[in-house]
Amino acid sequence: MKNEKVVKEKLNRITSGPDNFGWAPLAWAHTEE
Amino acid sequence: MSPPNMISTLFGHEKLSIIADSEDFLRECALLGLNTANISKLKKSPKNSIVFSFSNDAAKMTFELAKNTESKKSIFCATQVFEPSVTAALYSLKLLLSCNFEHALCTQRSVLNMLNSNELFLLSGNGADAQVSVFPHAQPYALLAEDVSHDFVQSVAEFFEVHYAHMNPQEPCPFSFSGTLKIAGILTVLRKPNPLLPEGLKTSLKWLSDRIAKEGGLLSIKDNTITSLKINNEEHIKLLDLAAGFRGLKLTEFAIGVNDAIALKIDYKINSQMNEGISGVHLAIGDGSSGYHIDFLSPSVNVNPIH
Repeated sequence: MKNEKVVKEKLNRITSGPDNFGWAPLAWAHTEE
Repeated sequence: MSPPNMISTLFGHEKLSIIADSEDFLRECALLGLNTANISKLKKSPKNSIVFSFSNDAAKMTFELAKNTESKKSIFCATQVFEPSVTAALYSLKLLLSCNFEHALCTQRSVLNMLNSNELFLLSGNGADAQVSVFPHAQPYALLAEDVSHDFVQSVAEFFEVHYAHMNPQEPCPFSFSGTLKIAGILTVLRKPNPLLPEGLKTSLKWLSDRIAKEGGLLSIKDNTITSLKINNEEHIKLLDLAAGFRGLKLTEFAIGVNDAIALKIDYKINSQMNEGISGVHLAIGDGSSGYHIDFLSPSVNVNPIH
């Protein structure tokens, strides 16, 4: 039986959204008082 | 006018609308053959849109409309915090419409995998002589094709960079950077006037940006702190320190740009958010609120793991 090595991609990330905006100005507009 | 092929990655071949709060800008867009609408006349978001907000009110309205709309795909360009001029917005729009989103999102995937699979990286090319380490378990901001396969409202910057942000100064920075980079341009962002900052900074930073766009700059960083910014051997670090406010000269962002498509069209004199996606790396100081957020753009720099 052939041994196949599967290398899994590591795709852990923060995706911008209402709770996590990073430095995206999206957040700044959203939270502007 | 049908949207160009490249942007159909996001919107298919469905109708795309340009939304804004500037009639002058919308008139220019209409002359380019694009569908347009003034945000103040909308009750819901169009199904597919690119939004240019020239004011904070329009930015807020973007989110109100999005909340009221079940099915929407929207790219948001917060023009008001960069340079709210028709010229800058048209420049950004034209760059945006020429981008290869599929390629950018695909490159984000491979960059993300590389960053998550290693801890220490060498920066080389275009005169770079630097190293960066990322802390174990630190997660970068990234956007992949699956994140935009259904409804989304995303800031335009997110399509073209993978970045680590040091948001909270009370917490440790997720990366550590040392070395030198050649700088082709800077971007400056302040979300609202801050009375604690010295007067005249906007003019001084515009002058600095024009000088760097014309002559280039050399940025030196030691343990996440900028120690020098030289243009033709003249030191400009004091201006950076004044502009960045209380976050000072400590880095707040390390990013890898993935937008190959703009390399030949980029104009570093324009304070456009589209510029920061340029293929290469960029670093930033400041948080955009207590002081200016200033991005230092270093194109054509490669980031490779050190094993």
